[in-house]
Amino acid sequence: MQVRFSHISLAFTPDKDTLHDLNFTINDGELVCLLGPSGGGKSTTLNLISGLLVPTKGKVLFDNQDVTKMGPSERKIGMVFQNYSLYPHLTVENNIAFPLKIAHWKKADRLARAAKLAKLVHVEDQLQKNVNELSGGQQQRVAIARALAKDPNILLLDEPLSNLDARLRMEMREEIRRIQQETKITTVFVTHDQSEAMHISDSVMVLHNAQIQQYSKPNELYDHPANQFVASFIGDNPLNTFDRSLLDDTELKEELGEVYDKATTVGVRAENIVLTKSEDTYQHGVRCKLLKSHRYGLISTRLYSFKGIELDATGLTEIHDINEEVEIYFQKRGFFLFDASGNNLFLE
Amino acid sequence: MTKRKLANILFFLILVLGALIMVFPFFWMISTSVKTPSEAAQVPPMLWPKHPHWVNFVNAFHAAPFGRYLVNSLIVTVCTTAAQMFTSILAAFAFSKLKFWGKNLIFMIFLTTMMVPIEMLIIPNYVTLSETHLMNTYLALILPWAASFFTVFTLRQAFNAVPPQVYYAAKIDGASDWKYLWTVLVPICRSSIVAMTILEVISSWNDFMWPMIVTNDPNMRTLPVAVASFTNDVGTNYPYMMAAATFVIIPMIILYVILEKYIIQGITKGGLVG
Amino acid sequence: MINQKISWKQTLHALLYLAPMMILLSIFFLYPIISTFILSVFKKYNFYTNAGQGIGFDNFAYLWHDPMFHQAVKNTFIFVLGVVPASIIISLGIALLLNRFSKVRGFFQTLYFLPYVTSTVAIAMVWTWIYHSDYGVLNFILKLFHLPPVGWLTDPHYTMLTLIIFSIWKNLGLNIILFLVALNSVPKQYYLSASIDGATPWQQFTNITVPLISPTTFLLTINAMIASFKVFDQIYVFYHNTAGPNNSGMTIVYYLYQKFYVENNYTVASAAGTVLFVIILLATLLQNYVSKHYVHY
Ligand SMILES: Nc1ncnc2c1ncn2[C@@H]1O[C@H](COP(=O)(O)OP(=O)(O)OP(=O)(O)O)[C@@H](O)[C@H]1O
Ligand SMILES: [Mg+2]
Repeated sequence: MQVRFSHISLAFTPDKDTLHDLNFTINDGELVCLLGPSGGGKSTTLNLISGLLVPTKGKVLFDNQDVTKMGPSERKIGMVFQNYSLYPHLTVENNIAFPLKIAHWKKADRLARAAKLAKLVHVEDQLQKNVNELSGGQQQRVAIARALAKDPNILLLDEPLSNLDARLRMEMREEIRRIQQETKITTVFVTHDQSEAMHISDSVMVLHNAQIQQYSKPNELYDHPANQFVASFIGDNPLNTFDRSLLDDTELKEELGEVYDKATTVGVRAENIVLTKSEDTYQHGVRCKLLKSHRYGLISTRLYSFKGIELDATGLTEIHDINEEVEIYFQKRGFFLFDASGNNLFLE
Repeated sequence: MTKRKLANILFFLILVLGALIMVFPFFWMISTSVKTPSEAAQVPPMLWPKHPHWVNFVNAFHAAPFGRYLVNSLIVTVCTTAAQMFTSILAAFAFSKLKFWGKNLIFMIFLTTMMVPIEMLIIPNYVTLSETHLMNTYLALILPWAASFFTVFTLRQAFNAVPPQVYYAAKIDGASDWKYLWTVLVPICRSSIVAMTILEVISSWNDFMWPMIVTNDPNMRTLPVAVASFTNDVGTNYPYMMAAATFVIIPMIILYVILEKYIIQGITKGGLVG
Repeated sequence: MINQKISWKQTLHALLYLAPMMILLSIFFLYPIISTFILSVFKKYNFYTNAGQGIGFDNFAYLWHDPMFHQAVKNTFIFVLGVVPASIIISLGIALLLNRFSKVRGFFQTLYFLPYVTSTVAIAMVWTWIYHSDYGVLNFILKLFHLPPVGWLTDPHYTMLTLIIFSIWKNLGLNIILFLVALNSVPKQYYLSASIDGATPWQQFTNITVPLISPTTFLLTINAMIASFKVFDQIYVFYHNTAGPNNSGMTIVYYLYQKFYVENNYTVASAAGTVLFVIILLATLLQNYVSKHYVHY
């Protein structure tokens, strides 16, 4: 089922919009991640889809039908909450079957369905256990099975992996992807972990400051961030930023052309700083001094000083001495110019 | 080291002596019940009769309509407890999970009922019940205790401990408030509910002043009232009186021994509230 | 759901859940509170028409001048003073001992708690037999120690002592259990570090245990006071529906009962009820104040 927000605003207090004028469409069968820092409004957006929250302004549409006024139980959705959402007094089997019991399914039918779903999420050997006896990951899987029980049109997952250790998270996110592809169910997945979002989703929506910062394919976010916020939020390493004026007396300025004049801030990804020029890089570099170098495994992280500011660089393999002056080059795909309001100037 | 051991032995003896004092009246009750009146009046007292007259229990039971009293007590206890738990669960749910105007005001108003000595209320309640011609009926024995804010208060605390996500999850699963309350919230909080239920069973079963006041018809007496007036029927037949006391006491002791865990839990949760 | 504004519909929905409790408590608790106050200021009251006449403080003046009420108040306070401190000290002592013998703790706890779950009336009946002047076990024990027999239930000088002993025995278990909870919530490391510092058990008790359980002690004291102010059942049984020889067992609640049920003097009984209410209200307010400011759960 397709989900569409049309001019949705939500304010918990009259003076401030937690979400402001949101417009987006999630296509049928897609897995979309809501990504953003804590307090960015991810859960709020999810709860607007579920009907647990009612928008202050605007409309929620499912397949072009207005569901804004509908309560959560009528929307045919399944939802997995971040914590504690299982019924602690029921067994795994009865947790999964609970929505069906409410819907007055016959006992045999609902237990059969629960067994089938348990198999899908690989908890079929735990059916008779009380949910308190399960590990965190198993509990999350049971919660997913329960959310799927009523064959919902939309599956909503609010940070379903946040309680798990790193290994289990990786396993589980693959599993969620697998289940989603098997069931072809429109899925919205909330996370504040950008690599999780990049790995499993068809599209990613970055939420910050009450607004959608960018809504696009995962790689687009990395390759063509819409603005400075997205550029610094996405990626494993920090984005180096500095004032444009520092480049005013370099030849790089000429090479960048007229877009340069509109820019106020320069952004360079740490992994896109190199020591040799090539087709991928700008032909003119800047002179820097190595301040610090630190290596573990193959990767070395370095700190260069450039006109009094510090630049992080990762992924360099050539070795040179501390305090030695070198020319560094910027790879084009990791180099951005932003205007005063943070927009990426290369996108136009 | 030996000093410590000696102290321990002394302390243990004190504990045992204390326990004997606590238990002795119960033992004495049973022991006297199975004596003949002359054995009971013997000096020095005999600890246990040579030929216990167990038949005393049967005779005492028939010396007054104890069957009827037992039924009265059962009806009153079961109905009072069931009604009180039902009204309290509903109210505690509303206070804990629902949003409505005047919530705090209503809560504060009824909170005052917890501070009032119930002994003070018997006069107006007596008037109310005589005016509605409910004297000497089960309703008179049940209705005044069919709601208790203390129970509401304690259950509300238990309900508050259940995270709101569970409520939202149930809503998404399609449950109405009513369904959520009875299929999710109540089962989750069952140990608190059981604890409050047992405490109410005990206090309802043992209640004396109110049943005494609203029942002048002997047929409507509950067991404690019946036992208190039993002296008038059997005079100084102490074995019969002890047997009658046993009828009142034994059911609660059995209940207590079986469900001690819940009773202790209820006492410790509720005991520090009010 | 989460952010919905409160509507009339929701309020009505909630009121349906609250209605049974609200109706019952209004009829049997709220209305009677007000009604008792009103009754207590009527000069005359007709039970059959439920109508009062004349407003004034005559009933309170009556209490003020009634020697019987003086006796009731005096006895009630003697009773409270006799029961509460002794009960607190004994139950704390027993709780400490129970903690010492943790293996048998459960068993003894069960025994000590037995009286609390039993009907006051029924077990008081048993005690009338224990207290019996001629055949009672208690006087027999006194005799073993070559002490003269006591008219527990017949001698007015002993009435309060008789009631106090029974009441301590009856309610000890409750205090023991609550003390055990308090004692076990004192963090163990306090005792550890104290014993490393070389504190004797007695020093540990006075410097750690007593201050840390003091909130519980206070609450139990007030609770026991409130319960003791309302003593009635045992008097009724011990003295066969009288307030003891020469009214030596007259208490406030018994006085209320007597005026109301025996003499049908509703207005004076209500005034006595009001006095009881004020006493208990003061105790409750004190308790709430202390638990808000000094007790941290
Ligand atoms: N019920 C509520 N009442 C008032 N404010 C709320 C409520 N729920 C959320 N907020 C506010 O709305 C903002 C967005 O919250 P939201 O829970 O959507 O953030 P999030 O992106 O999910 O963050 P996190 O990653 O920490 O879960 C926050 O500033 C939060 O304080
Ligand atoms: Mg969130």
